[in-house]
Amino acid sequence: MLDIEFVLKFLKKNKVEGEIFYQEKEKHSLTIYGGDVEKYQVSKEQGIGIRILKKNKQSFSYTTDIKNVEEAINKALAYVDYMPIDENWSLVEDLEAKDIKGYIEDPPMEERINTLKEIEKKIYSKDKRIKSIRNIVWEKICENNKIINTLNTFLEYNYQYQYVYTEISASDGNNERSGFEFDTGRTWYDLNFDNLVDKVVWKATSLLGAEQTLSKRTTILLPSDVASDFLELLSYMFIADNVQKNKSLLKGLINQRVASPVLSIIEDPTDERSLVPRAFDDEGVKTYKKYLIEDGILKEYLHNLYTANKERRNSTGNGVRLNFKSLPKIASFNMYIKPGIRTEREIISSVKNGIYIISLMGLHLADTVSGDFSLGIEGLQIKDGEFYKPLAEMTVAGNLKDLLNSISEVGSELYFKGNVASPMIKLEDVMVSGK
Amino acid sequence: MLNKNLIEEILGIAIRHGGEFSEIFLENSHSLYFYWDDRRAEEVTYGEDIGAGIRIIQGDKVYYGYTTDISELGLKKLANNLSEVVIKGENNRKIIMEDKKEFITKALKDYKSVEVGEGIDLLKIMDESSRNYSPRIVQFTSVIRNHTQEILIANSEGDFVEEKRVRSVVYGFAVGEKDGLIQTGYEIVGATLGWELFTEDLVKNVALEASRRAILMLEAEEAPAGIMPVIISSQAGGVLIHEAVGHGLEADLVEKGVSVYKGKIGEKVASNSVTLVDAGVLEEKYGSSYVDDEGVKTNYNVLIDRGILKSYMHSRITAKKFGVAPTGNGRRQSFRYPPIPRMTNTFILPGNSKLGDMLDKVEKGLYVVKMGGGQVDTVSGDFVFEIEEGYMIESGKIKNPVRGATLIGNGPKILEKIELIGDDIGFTPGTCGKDGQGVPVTDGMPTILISEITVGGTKKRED
Repeated sequence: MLDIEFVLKFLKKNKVEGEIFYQEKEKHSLTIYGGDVEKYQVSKEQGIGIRILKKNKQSFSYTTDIKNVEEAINKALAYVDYMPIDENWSLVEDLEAKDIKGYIEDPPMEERINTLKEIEKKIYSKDKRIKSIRNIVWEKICENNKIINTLNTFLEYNYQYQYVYTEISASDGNNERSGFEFDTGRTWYDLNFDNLVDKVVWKATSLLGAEQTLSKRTTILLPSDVASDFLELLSYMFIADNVQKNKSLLKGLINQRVASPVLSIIEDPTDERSLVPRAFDDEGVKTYKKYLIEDGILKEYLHNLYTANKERRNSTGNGVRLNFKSLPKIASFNMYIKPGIRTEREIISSVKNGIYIISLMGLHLADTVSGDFSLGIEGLQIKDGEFYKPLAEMTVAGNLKDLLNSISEVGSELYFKGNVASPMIKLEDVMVSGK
Repeated sequence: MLNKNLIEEILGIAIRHGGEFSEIFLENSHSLYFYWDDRRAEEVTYGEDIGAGIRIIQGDKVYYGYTTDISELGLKKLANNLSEVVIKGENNRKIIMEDKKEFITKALKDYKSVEVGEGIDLLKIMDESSRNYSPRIVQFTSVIRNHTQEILIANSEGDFVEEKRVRSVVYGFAVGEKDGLIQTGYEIVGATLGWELFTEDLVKNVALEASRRAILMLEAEEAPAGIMPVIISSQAGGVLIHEAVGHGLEADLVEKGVSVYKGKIGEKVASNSVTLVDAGVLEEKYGSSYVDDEGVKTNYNVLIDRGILKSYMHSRITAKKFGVAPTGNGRRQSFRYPPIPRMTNTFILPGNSKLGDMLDKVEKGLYVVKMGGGQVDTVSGDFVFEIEEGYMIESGKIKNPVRGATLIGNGPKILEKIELIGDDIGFTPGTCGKDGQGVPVTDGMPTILISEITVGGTKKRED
C-alpha cells in the first residue's frame, strides 16, 4: 500500500502544492482457440502519478514502485524550476467525494470458459464458409483510483467493464474475407454473445466475392459501429486544448452552423446507459449532460480545469487521466449522436442506389487537424432498397467538415458500446473511388 | 536484479502442478519525456515502470500474469497463483539455469546523466526553426523521449539473459494555414541509441522537415483517384512492405489461418526481384535488440528470397508448432504482455535501377516521397497507407505536389506488380501495433516502381 500521509508530508516539507493519482488495476482475460483455452491471464498492478505545482510552474513524474516513491518525487521537484510560468495550472480545493460502485460477480471460470467455447462452435456451425477463427477473447478490467492533493482534496472512484471480441475468416474457395465483432458490458451478464455470433458471421460471409467497381457519387450508409468510429474521430475537434492551439476545424464557430440540421451530438457521463458512468472527472469536477452540436449548430467544446482557466470559465468536467502515467488531458466519457426517427431497416429500404459500409480501413490515419481523410472501404451495394453485391478495394476521401454537412438522416437505434455511440448515419452524394 | 537461486525457485513454483515451460520477464524501465506545444515546454515527465511477468506453457495453453510487486513475496505469490490454475499434476522438476549472458546498448548517455534544461533547450531550438521557416506555421508540437529498458529473462530451459536497451526518439508536428486551409507535416527520427542522438543539427532538421511538408501541402493540389503507376522513393520509408507483406508473415497469424501466406513456403509470392529481410541485429536501428523478449538471439532472417517465400517470423511457441528454430521475433511491449511474433527491422534489399529509369516508364502517375501510417487485413491481404508527401508524374517528369491521398491495394497482388527496384535504401522508425501492444520497429525500402495501384484521392472527377 502507498503511504499517502508520507507523500503529503514530503510535499509540504518541500513547500510545494501537489497531487497524487493513485491507481490500482486488475485485469482478467481468457482466450479460446481450437476448442480449448489458449491463454489465461491475470494481473494486478499499482502506480502513482505525482503532479507538483510551484509558483505557477508544473512538473510531473510517475512510478510503479509505491514503496519507494522518494526518487520519483525528487525528480519532479528538481524539474519544476525549469518549467515555464503558466498561471492556468490549478488543483481543486477542499473537496471530498466518493463514487464507489458494486457489481454483480461473474459466473465461475469453468462456466465462462464453456460459454466462450460454445461461441466458437456456434460460429463454425452457423455457416459452412467459415474457414477459421483467430480466437475468442474475453477481458475484464477493474480499477480503483484515488486523487489526493495538498489542498485538502480526497477523491475516490472505482469502475469495472468487460468486453468480448472475435476475428474470423470466411472462404468460398476463391476468395477470403475477414470479420470482426465485439461487445462490451459492465458485467458478464451484459454481454450479448448470440448477437456477436450472428453479426461476425454475417460480416465475413456477406463480403465474399467482393470486387472493385467503377468510381461514382452515391449515397452511403454508415451502420452504428462504423458511425461510432467516425464519431470518435470527430471528438478530437471538440477538445478545447486543440481549439485553443489552432488544431481544430471548429475553432471560433460557437453558435454557428457546422453540420447538417439533422445532427445533434451530446456528451453525458451521467447517462446510466453508458459503459462507465462518472459522477466527477479525474480533476474532481462534477460531470453533466451537454449538447456539443444541437440541430447542426456548434454549442460547446470539452474543457478540463486548465483550458477553462485560460478562458476564465468553468470546466465541463472532461478532465481525463488515461492512467497513472499521464497528466489530466481532455476527452469525452460518453459521447453520442441523438437518434432520429426511422429504423436502420427502414432507411436501407428507402435507398435506391447506395453503399452500406461494413468495414473501413485506415480510419486512425485520418488527419484530425486538417480534417482530410482517405479510407479504404468494404461493403454492400444497395439497389432499390435491397443488398445487391459486395464491394472491396474502394476508397472514400474527403474532409470531416464536408462530411458533417452531408449527413441527411440519423437512424433510431442507439447502442452504447464503449465511450462513443451512434445510430446509423446516411450521407448523400459522396465520391467513392474504384476503377 | 534478482539472484539466480531465487529465480530458479520461482520458475520451479510456477510449474509445480504441471506445465513444460516457465519463464520470468523482469523489467526496470526509466523514461524521460519532453513535450513542447504552443510555444512552451508543456510537459516534462520522469517515469519508472518496474514489474514482472510470469508465463507457464502447458501443451497449447499459455498462462500469463504480471505484477508491479517484484519483492520475493510478490513474485512467489504470482508464480503460485498461476500454478494453481494449471491443470493439476505433480511436478518436482528442479530448474537449473545457465550462467547469465549480458548485453548492453552502446549508449553514451541515458536518463541518469541528462539535465532537464538540455531537453527543454532542444525543444526550443526546434520551435524556433519551425516558426522561422514560415509565418504560415500556426502551431508547432514536438516530443523528445529517451527510454531505458533493463530486462532479465530466465526460463525453465536454463536460459538466463539480461539486456539493457536504450532508445531515443524525436518528432516534430507542424500545422500550416493559408486562407482558411489547414495542412500538417510530420517528421520522426528514432534509434536504439542514447541521448547522444539528439544533436542540435538533428533536431533542427526534424523541425524543418515537418514544417516544410506542412507549407508544401498548402500549395498542393488535391490528389486524383483511380488506378495508376506509382514510384515510391527510398526516403518514403517502408511502411508499404510492413503492411502489405510483413504482418502476413507473422507465424501466429499463419498458424491460425488468418494470413494469405499460409501454406506458401517454397512458393513464388512476389516478382523475382523481391528479397525481403527482417533483421533485429542491425546496429542502432529502432527495432533492434541483442535478444528478443523471450531471450532468443535476434537474427538476420531472409523471409522472401528472389520472389520465393522462405520463412515466417516466429516466437518460441509458433516455432515449436511449425517444427523450426525460433527466429528471434518473440516481442512484447512491456512486462504487461506475453510475447508474440513481431517484426523488428523489415526491408526489401536494393536492386539496380535508377529513379530516371523508373520515371521514363511513367506517362501519368504518382511519385511518393514520404509515407505515413498504414493498416492491413491479413485475411484478404488488403491494405491502405497514407501519403504524406507526393507529386504527380507527367510524361516522366515530376510535377506539382498533391495532398490527401492514400494507396489501397492487395499485398500478394502488389508484390507481383513491383516492376523495378532501385539501387538505394531508406529506413523509417515507427511503432507497430498488434493485439494492443506497441513495439518499436523500422521499415525499409529501395525506390520502387509499382506498375499499377489504386490511389484514393479527393479530386473531383467528371462523372
